[in-house]
Amino acid sequence: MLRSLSCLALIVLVASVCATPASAQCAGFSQVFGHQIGGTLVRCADNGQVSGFVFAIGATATINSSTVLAPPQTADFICEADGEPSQGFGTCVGGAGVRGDGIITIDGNWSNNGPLPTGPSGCPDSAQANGVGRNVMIIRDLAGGGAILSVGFDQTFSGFVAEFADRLETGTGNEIFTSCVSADGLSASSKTLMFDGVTKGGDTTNTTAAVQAHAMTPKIFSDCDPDSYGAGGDCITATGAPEPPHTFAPGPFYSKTGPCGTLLDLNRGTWAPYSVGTSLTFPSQSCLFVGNTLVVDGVESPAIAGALSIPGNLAPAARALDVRAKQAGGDVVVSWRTDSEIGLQGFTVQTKSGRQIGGMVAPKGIGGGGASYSVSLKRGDFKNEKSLYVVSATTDGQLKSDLASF
Amino acid sequence: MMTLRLSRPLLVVLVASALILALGGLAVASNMGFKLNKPIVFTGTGQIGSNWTSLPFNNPYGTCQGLCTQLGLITLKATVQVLDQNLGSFTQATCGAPACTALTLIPGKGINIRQPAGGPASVIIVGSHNPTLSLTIPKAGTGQIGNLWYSLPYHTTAVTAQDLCNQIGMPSTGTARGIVTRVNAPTGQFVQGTCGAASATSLNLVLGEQVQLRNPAAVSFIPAHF
Repeated sequence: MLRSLSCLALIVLVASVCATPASAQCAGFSQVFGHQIGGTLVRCADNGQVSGFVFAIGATATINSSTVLAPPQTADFICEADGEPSQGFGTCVGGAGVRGDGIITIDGNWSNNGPLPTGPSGCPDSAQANGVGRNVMIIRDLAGGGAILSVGFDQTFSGFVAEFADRLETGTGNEIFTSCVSADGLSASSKTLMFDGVTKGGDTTNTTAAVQAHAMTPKIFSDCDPDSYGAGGDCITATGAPEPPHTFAPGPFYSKTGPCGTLLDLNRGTWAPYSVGTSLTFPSQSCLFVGNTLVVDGVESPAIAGALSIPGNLAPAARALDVRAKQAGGDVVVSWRTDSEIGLQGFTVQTKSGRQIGGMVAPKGIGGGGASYSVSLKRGDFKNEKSLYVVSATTDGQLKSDLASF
Repeated sequence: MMTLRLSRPLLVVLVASALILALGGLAVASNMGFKLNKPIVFTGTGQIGSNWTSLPFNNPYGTCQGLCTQLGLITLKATVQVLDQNLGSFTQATCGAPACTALTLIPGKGINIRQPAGGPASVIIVGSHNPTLSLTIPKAGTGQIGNLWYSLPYHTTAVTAQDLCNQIGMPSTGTARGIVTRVNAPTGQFVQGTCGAASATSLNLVLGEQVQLRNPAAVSFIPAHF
């Protein structure tokens, strides 16, 4: 008897020493999330590292693109460009194109820790059963655009397939890739808050801003929707019954300050509660971000689901950069670029004396991101002047570029 | 009528020659082509339908997509998964997706095929062995680090998990031992054999299935085979 117990104890000891140790992520099996069948997110400002946060309904599992690997490294679960490292597949290969093309993919795996300081925390569906650990994927691009996906566990793929939240085109049944911006290109596809105005002050050192905004119930791209690619196939419980509907409501406001136009940590714990209209002071070279969470099935999300940014007095704005002017025959070709187009209404070209040449040039930046421009103007309209500015008309006023001559 | 009588020395030479030829035949056989009809269990709950699959060390597939195409797995539904034993990370790709074309299959390493109903219920896997290929099980680490998905050769001499423990040199005594794991695709159960324990001697290896090897220390081996 004693011998049997000794053997048993030895086996338990061996098992405890050699078995795969319990860890924060899914252990022993793969559990992917993101784009699995060639789909992408489109019209996302992705000339830098896009922010993302994924959490599971009813579970504590989370993963945050800003803590997976510290910037500027990019081994997170959002692919801005093919060839970059990713947390799921290992390398971005799913058709993310190149940075700045507006196309991104989600490529994650709840089982992968990998060479990361902090991988996923928790496992959404350790039983690998339907109806457990529905993933909510929050994407926020570099210009304030974004989309929120809600995707259930799929048995075949052993994970959460982002494409199943895409819409199907009426008539053709073709898949429509989810966009980071609304059809008119003016706001995020999943908009959790509306910007109502800002009162700014301060100087070149510190900026003060009091932001007015109100919360909105965002559009959620769910695979439970009948017009989704998934068409509810994964919107079932472990017994195959329809998954009870989930409620999504906007949550309270938060704020934080940080660099403009870069990766934004969406972890709610890194933000401070904010009451709209409250004046905040922040460094003038930074941005003030005001965002809000989601309330899913009555529980506040661990992440900020949408955010707007208020540039400080010296922060990068929708100013025309690298302005060049060149005479070509009877025309003057003016070219420039922008890093950001947040709040931009359009551009005009003005002579040094202030005369406007030609009409207004519409913004091209995807969802407020940067873009490049080139316009041809008639040389004769400049008369005897040979210098010009490109002027950005923004919701905050006008921004003049550096003077360019031809 | 003439009769042929073999002298005793000649008989010895003939027997020896026959033996050499037979051995030579076996040696050729060790590099012979393989063709295995492997059943595919369709995807179900949890690990049901996780078809842990061995591939011959030399095979014509090259990539996940090559495998999908040649095995006739369902496009945009069947998935192929591999595990990086050094990083401890899984990589999964769907047949027909760009990732599948990019996923190179590594000789000696097994794969996990998952496919919903509607695809082929069995697939023909072909290839041949590379008797010089050495594999390394990294030292067991956190999470999946150190878990080698081992493509069991189709002419392996190992019958049980314990045989693998012995052949590879995974410790079967002491407190830190090797572990062999297989997945029962129809039931979705993980079956684990600890070297030196009854669980290893009772864990029968299945032709065409990969197994997961985990060892307390790094070890390299050249698989034994007929």
